[in-house]
Amino acid sequence: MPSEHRLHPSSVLFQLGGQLKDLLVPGLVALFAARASESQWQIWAMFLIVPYTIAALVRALSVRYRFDPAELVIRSGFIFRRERRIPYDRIHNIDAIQNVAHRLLKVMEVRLETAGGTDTEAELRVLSVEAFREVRQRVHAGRGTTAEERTDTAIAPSPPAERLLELPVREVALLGVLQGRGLVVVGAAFGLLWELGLVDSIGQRFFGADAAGRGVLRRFVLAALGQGAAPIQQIGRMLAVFVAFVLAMRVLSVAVAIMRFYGFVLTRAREELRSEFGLLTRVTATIPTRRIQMLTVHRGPLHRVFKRAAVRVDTAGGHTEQQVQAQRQWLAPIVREEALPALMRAVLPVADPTVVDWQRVHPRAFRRAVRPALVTPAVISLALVAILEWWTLAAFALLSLWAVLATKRHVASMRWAVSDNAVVFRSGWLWSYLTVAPLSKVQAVSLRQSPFDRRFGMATVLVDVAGGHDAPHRVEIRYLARDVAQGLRDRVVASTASTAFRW
Amino acid sequence: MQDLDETSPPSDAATPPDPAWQRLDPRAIQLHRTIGWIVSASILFVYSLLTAVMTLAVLLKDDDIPSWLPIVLWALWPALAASLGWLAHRFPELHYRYTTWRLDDVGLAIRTGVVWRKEISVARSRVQHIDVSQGPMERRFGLATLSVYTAGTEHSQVALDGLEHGVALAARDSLLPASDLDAV
Repeated sequence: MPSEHRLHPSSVLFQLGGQLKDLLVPGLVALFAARASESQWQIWAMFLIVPYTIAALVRALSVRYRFDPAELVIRSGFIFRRERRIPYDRIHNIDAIQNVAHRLLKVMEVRLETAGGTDTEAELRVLSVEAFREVRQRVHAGRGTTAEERTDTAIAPSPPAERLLELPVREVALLGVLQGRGLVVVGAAFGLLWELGLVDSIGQRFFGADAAGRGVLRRFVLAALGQGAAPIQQIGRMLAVFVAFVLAMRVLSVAVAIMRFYGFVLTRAREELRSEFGLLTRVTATIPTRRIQMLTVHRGPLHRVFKRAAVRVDTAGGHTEQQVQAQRQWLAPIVREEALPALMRAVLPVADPTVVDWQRVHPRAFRRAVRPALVTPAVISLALVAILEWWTLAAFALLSLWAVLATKRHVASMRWAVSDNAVVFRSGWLWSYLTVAPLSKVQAVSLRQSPFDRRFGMATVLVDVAGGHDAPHRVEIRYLARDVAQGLRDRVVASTASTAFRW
Repeated sequence: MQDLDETSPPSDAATPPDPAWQRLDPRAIQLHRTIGWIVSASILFVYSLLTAVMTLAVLLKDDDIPSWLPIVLWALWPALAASLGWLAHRFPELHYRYTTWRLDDVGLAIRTGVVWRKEISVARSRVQHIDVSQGPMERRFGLATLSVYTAGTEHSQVALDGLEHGVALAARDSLLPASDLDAV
């Protein structure tokens, strides 16, 4: 009988901390409400929290786990007992999170995930670092081996890890600049300021009295037409504020990136990819290469300037807490262009970056795409009619020109290819995405035709994979000639039919 | 897409997977028509109710509602009723004509759509599980809906309704993976 392990002694602290964190805000609200009102029942209600917390503590202390030959068994509870058995084969990801407190005590919060399901399958809060490593090794050893090889004393020596990517602080800072996530912080700050009623006073300070602030645009237009003085000072001030804002955004974004991705390391140990990152909260995420359903390479306009790219993988599996999920998806949040082919080959062997036979979409795709694209400028211009009056025509012309240009470049950028192993699709003009869908991971294929498509003899092919819920780009190839679309569809379906699907 | 002129008779309950494209059961037309009429009646009822309320408000000299509005709404009532009725009558026919499906060694393929056309293909090895369900109206007509679930995101559920109950059950049994192919 394999021996049972318990959680780390300090798990009591962390369990308690977790409970208090959840109850803190409601508790404070209840406290303030009680002080304000006559009755004191809110304070008495808070005492109900105590047994709730005790129950949670008991749960933490009662958790025991052991490594059976084929599965991980986790038992919890004294009165209401629960036993959970998770076969090693079913475990997709083993993630570990460490915030500052965890790191001081050298423990980690471990989460196990299986395919499907909406939540973490098992959460071990907390384990020591050695215990976490043992869990990882055992799960790894137990996976995919025959029954004879699995014994509870067989712990294979740690396999040699190959370091795929390491991001120094400079790269992480660059990542911040490229991502432009500063807006998130600003949104939060703005919300806070609004609550405190400071927004109005700040606005007054920067833009002077209300009357002078508004109507700037109209006065500018009038000045251009020769009537009235141009509000140079106002515009100058607004421009200065705007530029300062944009710069502040980028600086904030750099700070956010450093907080999230400091010390980013991506390693590959046999069939597993492991990434570790984070400044205050350290996250260790693992992805078995077998579970990768789709790989996407993203390049924005700034990425091209700096010759970098971002790589993202989509795996099937639960929608875990945003923190781990969102960051694990970006396998390599920033990587140099030169290093990209090697990285892609190491991560997903079927993703051959040196595709030569790129196919294009239908030659008349532009004509098909341009008319719907003109709808948006028309709608925007109509909305602005009240403000711009006769200038609406000029606005419409400008917007339409931009729409036509953008459509032309977008259609020209679409490329696709299909090999024996994968379907690859590239699209996007300023923000370009390249998505690789291994044929072994394809679930369903659909072919769609809108009435416009039918008139032009085109069709859209969608290659559906698991886990692409939040993917910014998927293999959805529009404006293909109908027979080409059917050929692609038949080829992909034939390939999926001949292979069994393994998670 | 080529016009779906090719006709193949709907198969009966115990037919094994048929290589040719099959149609839905013809009773599906009646089923969809019945549902269409019920829905149209509900819409018209709500519309009439709202218009009656507005008429009442105008008659009671309520200033919020312009007096021409109820008249216009009542004038539109016949047109609305006619178009809903026509739609409820005609659309099921078109849907029947443009929906075909096929079950073979490769897997399940469904072609559907009157205006926006769609073809979905699911290979046998990619089927996760299968449902055959019957709503109350479907039970009365002896029809059922076949739902095939995959691990995909866009096509996590592929549904085909208007099949004869026995046909749906046969399709489900045919698609169930053999136990040694269970890969998840």
